[in-house]
Amino acid sequence: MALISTRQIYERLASVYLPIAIGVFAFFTLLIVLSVLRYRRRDQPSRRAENNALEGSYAALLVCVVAFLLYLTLTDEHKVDSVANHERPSLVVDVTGSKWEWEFRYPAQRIVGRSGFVGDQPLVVPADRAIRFNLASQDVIHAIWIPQLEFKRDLIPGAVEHVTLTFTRTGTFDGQCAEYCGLHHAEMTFRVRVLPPPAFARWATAHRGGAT
Amino acid sequence: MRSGAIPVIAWFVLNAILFVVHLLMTGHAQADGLAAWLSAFALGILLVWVVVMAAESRQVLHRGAPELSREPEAVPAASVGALMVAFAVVACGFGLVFGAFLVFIAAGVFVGAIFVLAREIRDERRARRAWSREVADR
Amino acid sequence: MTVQASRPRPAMARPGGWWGAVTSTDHKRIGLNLGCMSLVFFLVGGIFALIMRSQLASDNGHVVSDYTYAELFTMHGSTMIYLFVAPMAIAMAMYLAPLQIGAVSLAGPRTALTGFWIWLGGGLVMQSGWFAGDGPGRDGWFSYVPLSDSQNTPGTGQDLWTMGVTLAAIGMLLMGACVLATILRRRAPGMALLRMPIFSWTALVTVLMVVSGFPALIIAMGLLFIDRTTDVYIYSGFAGAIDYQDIFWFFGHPVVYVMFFPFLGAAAEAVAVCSHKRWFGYKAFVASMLAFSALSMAVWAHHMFTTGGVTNQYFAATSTALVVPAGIEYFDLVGTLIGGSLVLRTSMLFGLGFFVQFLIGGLSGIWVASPPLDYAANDTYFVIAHFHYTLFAGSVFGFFAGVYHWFPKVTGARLREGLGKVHFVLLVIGTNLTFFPMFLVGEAGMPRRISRYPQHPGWVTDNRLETIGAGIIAVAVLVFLVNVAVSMRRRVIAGDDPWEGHTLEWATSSPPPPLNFTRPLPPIRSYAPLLDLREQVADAGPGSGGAEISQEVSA
Repeated sequence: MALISTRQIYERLASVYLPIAIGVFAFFTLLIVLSVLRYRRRDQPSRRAENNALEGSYAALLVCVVAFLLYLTLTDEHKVDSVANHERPSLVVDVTGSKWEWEFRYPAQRIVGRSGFVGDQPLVVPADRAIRFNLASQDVIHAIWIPQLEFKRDLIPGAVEHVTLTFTRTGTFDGQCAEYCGLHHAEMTFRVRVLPPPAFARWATAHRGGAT
Repeated sequence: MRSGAIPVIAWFVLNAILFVVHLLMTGHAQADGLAAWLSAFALGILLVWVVVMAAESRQVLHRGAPELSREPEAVPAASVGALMVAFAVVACGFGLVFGAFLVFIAAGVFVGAIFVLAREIRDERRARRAWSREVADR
Repeated sequence: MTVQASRPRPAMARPGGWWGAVTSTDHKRIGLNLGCMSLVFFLVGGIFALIMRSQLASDNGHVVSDYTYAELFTMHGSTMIYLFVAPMAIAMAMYLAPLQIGAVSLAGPRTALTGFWIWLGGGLVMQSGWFAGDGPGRDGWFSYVPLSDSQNTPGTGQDLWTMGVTLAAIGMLLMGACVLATILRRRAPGMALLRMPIFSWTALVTVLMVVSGFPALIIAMGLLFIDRTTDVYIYSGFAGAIDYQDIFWFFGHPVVYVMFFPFLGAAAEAVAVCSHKRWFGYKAFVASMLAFSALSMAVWAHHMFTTGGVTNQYFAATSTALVVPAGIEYFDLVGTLIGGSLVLRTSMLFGLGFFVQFLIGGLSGIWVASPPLDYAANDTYFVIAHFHYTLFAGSVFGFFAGVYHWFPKVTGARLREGLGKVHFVLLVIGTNLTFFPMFLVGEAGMPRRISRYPQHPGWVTDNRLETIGAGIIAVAVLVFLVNVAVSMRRRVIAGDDPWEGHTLEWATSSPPPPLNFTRPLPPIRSYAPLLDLREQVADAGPGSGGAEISQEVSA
């Protein structure tokens, strides 16, 4: 089963939504501007007040546009929210948010990293592998946001949420808490280091039983 | 007849359709239990509104433009009672944070407001009856 | 054809002076009081925004402490939503809808008066937190639990915020219910539902949403207040957190449409009158307003896509479906402009500005209606850009269109056109400079509700542009206030109908008398009765005796 990349899904959806949005905006703005230029003060304004046939066809067209957008969105949402969680993860990371710190715990490798208001230990992950994140919060609602993945999910106290994500690019990326959680919310940040799988394996062995 | 419950009924129907679609799409999803209740609550409010209107006059359920009514109306120009009720509610709310003494003051003002409102409504009814007689005499 | 309304008589003598203004049950007085107080709160909320923008102009600003910054973003949002845009929408509906439908008074006038004072009291209670030891509310305008419970945010300031919102909601609910009853029950003879003007239809769907959506806010906040101040824990655990959001957003989505529809109606009326054409596609527009507002009651959990606690698919579907009624509204706009005789008054400029700019807000809304796109955009400056484009670049522009259009009717004097155009141009520049870069900086990774971003100096340029834009907005608002002051001081008398209006409010004096109409109403055959009359006179030809068409005046 091909791995589900939230970034690729985002980029593909955006590549449909953005041109449509720009096109619609340009279309109506143009019509408005042209009307303003063309229909300045004249003696006899038209008394035409409806064109139900045209409007009806137009509404039908809009329904088709909605159906098309929904088809794309719902199939992609299904992939991200359901199908991804059926992948067998290569790595499991327990993420716990608290005011104002992230804790990344690797149960299989017995590694722990902390980042945020105190500390700056990164989340280290392999590229091109399905990674299961178990998200929990110790106090208030936080949200884990990794812009590189174009993905975020809330960490809500009282239950553990599972998401399965795949990084497709190596490098170091930003992570941020995205749900206001109190005084030092702005400082609840972390970095993600994405390594090629062999390098990750070496890293895991070297850090076994310690910190990231 | 000047009343019209039709927009509320039409809106109720639209909301009810969406509610049914919601139930069908969520099936037995547990987290959505409250969501369904919220929609049902809103539908309930609309239903109560229609029932109250219909209780006043069955004409509300009929289509058509309002007709000319020769019923005199009395329109109040001002209301001190309304102000007192508002003061009582706000004082009570503030008192729930600040201190119980405000809640007691609010209760007292509220009782006073009832009396003032009763008198205002009575004056209004008298004025309407007087004008009714005047119109009938003409 | 003559139409004569029965002539109600006031039950008591009308008190004068400030006491009269405070106790008056005249819908115009209450509406005006509500509108003026909302405008004051707009300025207050705007000052909060300016302070935040000065902080964000550099990546490690120290204009205010992080604690104060949290108070600022909370009180900015709360003031703008609960105390400016939503009540202003109700104020316009309360003032204008009864006039447009030919009613002589509001239904339930005492209830409406009570509602106004409860709302104002709520606003003052909310703001009184600034004087509390721990400051006012500071958990964001939606105040999620468990952050906003007494353990995580202790103190009277947050309690006062919670109570203030509850009271403001009660007040708006009462006023909205009265306007609804009025539109349903107090229409003039001949004013069928499908002859109600565009603005009145937008007012109707607005108050339908107020009546069915606002109770949820009262419940959410009331329960939160109990949770905070007693030993009873209402919202506990995962379910409690989700439930709070469900109840809150069940109100929270309709309220943004409450903050949209009357201003859409105002812009539409201004555009139609300034085009000398009735609004196009009336029946489709009415149907789409009903569908739009019904859908708005069914989309709320799109604010909760990232929680994992709701059925994202249903809410994505209903949210995306909004394209259909919104699209119809734009079709009707273009249909109104085409073939018209357009006059570019300030009201028209703001009306067109509303439609063009709201489109950006609406399209970005369809973007975030898609869960995979929202997983990236939620809680970032992208979403801030989206809702400011709809609420500020949209609704506030529609508000100004309404102000320039109806100011003569309400006050009897015209606003200055020259100052109005300066106001418009400055506001367009300021608005777009402030909010467009937010799309970009949100996409680049800037989350909302942060007071500093030292790790991202790359965001400074966009933030600085936004701050400059905010300053320009402030200047534009000042120009507007100067315009109002000058126009009230050196009055240019407007007369009953300075714009050749279409609807009944223009058939009475400016300002209207206490019982709205002293002359018999013109015949009501469509949603533009005065335009109908004018066209009839024009068709009958010059010199045919307008007196035959005008109304017989009877006792």
